[in-house]
Amino acid sequence: MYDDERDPERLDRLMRSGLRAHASRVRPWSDLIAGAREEARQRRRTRRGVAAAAVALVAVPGAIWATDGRAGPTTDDPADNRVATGPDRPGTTSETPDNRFSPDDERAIPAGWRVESYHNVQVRVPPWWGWGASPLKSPGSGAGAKSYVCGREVRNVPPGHWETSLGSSPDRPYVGRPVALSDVCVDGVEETEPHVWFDSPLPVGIERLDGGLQRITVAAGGMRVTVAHTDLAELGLIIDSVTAGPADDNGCAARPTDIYEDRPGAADVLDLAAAAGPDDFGGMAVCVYHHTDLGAGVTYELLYSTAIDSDAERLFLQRLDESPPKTGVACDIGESQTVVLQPQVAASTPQLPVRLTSCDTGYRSVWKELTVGNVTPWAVDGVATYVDGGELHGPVTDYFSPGSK
Amino acid sequence: MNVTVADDEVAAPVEFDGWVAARAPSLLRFAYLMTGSREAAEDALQTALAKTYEHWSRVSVMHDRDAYVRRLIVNAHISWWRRFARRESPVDEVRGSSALADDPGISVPGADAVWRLCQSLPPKQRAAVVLRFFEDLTYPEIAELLRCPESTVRSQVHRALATLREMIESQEARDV
Repeated sequence: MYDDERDPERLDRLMRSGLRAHASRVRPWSDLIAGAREEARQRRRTRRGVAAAAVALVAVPGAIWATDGRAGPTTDDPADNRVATGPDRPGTTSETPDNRFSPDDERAIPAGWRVESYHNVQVRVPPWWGWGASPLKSPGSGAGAKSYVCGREVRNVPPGHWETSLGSSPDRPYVGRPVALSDVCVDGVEETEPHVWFDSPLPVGIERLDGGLQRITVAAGGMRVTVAHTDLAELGLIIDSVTAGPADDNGCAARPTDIYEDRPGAADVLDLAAAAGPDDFGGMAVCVYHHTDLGAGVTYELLYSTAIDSDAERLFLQRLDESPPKTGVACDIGESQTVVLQPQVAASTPQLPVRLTSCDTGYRSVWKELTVGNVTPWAVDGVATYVDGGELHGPVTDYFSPGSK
Repeated sequence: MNVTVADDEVAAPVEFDGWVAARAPSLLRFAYLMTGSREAAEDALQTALAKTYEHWSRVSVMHDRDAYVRRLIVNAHISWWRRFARRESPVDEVRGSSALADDPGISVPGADAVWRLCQSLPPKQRAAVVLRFFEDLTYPEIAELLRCPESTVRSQVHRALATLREMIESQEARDV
C-alpha cells in the first residue's frame, strides 16, 4: 500500500521520472527550421489577403494599417524591431489574432462560478444554472442502443428555490446527471438550453444543434462529459474546467470507502460547535452519495455536492443541537442514497451522515431527528432535485425530491 | 492583447536558426508530453515556431523565449482539443493497454501510470502537470503562463497527484 507519510516526495519523483522517461522518446526532425519558416510565409500570405479584402469592403477614416496597405504591426520587414505595441485605437482596424504579440487567448473562470461534480469528475458553471436529468443509457450497446431522459420536467430548479422544482418552465441552462427523476421517460429530446451532461452517452466530438447550440463531448475520469452552449467563450471556459480527481473542490470524496465510519479522532460535532467561537466555522460541504451493490459489497459514489457558508453552517449546528433526539429504530434497510454533511468547526471536519429510509431517518452520529428547522440551512441548491425524500413523512418531505412515492 | 515589454525583460537578440537548433529538442519533448503523440507534437511545435518566427524581432530580445513558445504550444493544443477531440477518445486509449508498456525503452517504475494519467487529463490540467514536473516551473510561473490563478494551478496539480496515488495503489493491490 502506498504510504505518503513515510515518503511524501515519492509521487513527485515518480511524476518527474515518468515524464522524463516518455519525453526521452522523441527527437527533433531535421527540417524543423525550414518548416517553421514556410508555415510563417503561408500565414503571412493568408493574412495579407484578409487585410486587402478588409480595405476593399470597409473604408475607415484614419485607419493607418488599412489605408497604407500594410496588414498590421507585423510586417515582412525583418528589421521591424518594435519591442512594444500600444493598445488598439478607436477608429483603426484591429489586429488579427495572429498579429498579437502575446499568445493570450485564455480567460480565467469567473469568480462566483460554482462546482458541480459527479463521481470523480467536476466542472464549473455559472451560478444561475439549474439542475436536472441527463440521458440514461439503455441496457446494451451498439447502433440499436437508446438513451432516455427520465424526469425532464424536473430540470431547471432555480438555485435556492426548491419549491419550484416541479413544473418549472424549462428555460434555464442546467447541469444534468444520469438519474431518473421521475417515472416518465422520453427519448429523442430536442435540447434548446445550454447544459452539462455528466456520464454522457454521446461520443467524444463536436456537433452543432439547431438553435445555435454548439455541443462538445470530452472524456475525463473514465466518463464522458457533454457541454452545450450558444456562447462559445463560456462553453470553452466550462470545458476547460472539467477535471477528474478523488475529491471535488467542495471537499467531497468521489468514492469513500465507508460513509458511516467516524473519522479517526473525530470529536462530537455538537461539542465542537458549542465550544467554538464565531470565527471557528469554515462552512459545510453537503455530499450526496448514491449506493451501488453489484454483489461485492456496497460502493458509494458522489452524485452531487454543494457548499454552504459559515453563517448557514453555524445556524444548522445550533438548530441541530436544539433538535429532539432521533426516535426511529435503527434498521438495516438498504437505502439508495446517503447525504454526508461535513461541517468545518475549529479546524476539524467531522462527518455527519443523514439517513433517509422509511424506518431509520435522521442524523447519525449525533442521533437527532430530521426537522424543517435543521434541514433548511443545508437542503439548498440541487438537493431538492437529487436527494430522494420519498421515504420521509411530514413537512420535511417538501425539501427533497418526491422520489417514487 | 498587446504587451509592453519592460526594460528588464529585454535581452540581447539572438539568431532564430541558432536558437531553434539549441532549444528544439527541449521544446519538442514538452510538446510531446502535452499532445501525447509525436505527430501532434511536431505539428504543434512547428506552428508555434512559425508564429515565433513572425515575431522574432520582438521575441528575440525576450529573456524567456521558451515560455513564449511553450504558451503557444499549450494554446494550440487546447484549440486542437476543442476542435478535433471527436477523432480520438482518450478514455478508450487509457483503459486499453498502453502502447508504451511494450516499449523496451521505458523501464522507469510507475512511468506507465504517469503516462496513463497524463492522457486522461484535460489539456489545461495536463499543461499544469507537465510544466510543474517536467519543466520544473514554480506555481506562480505556471499561473502566469496559463493565465489562471495560482490556486487553480495548485488545485489541478494536487488533484492529478491524488489520482496518480490512487492508480498506484490500485495497481499495487492487483499485484499482491
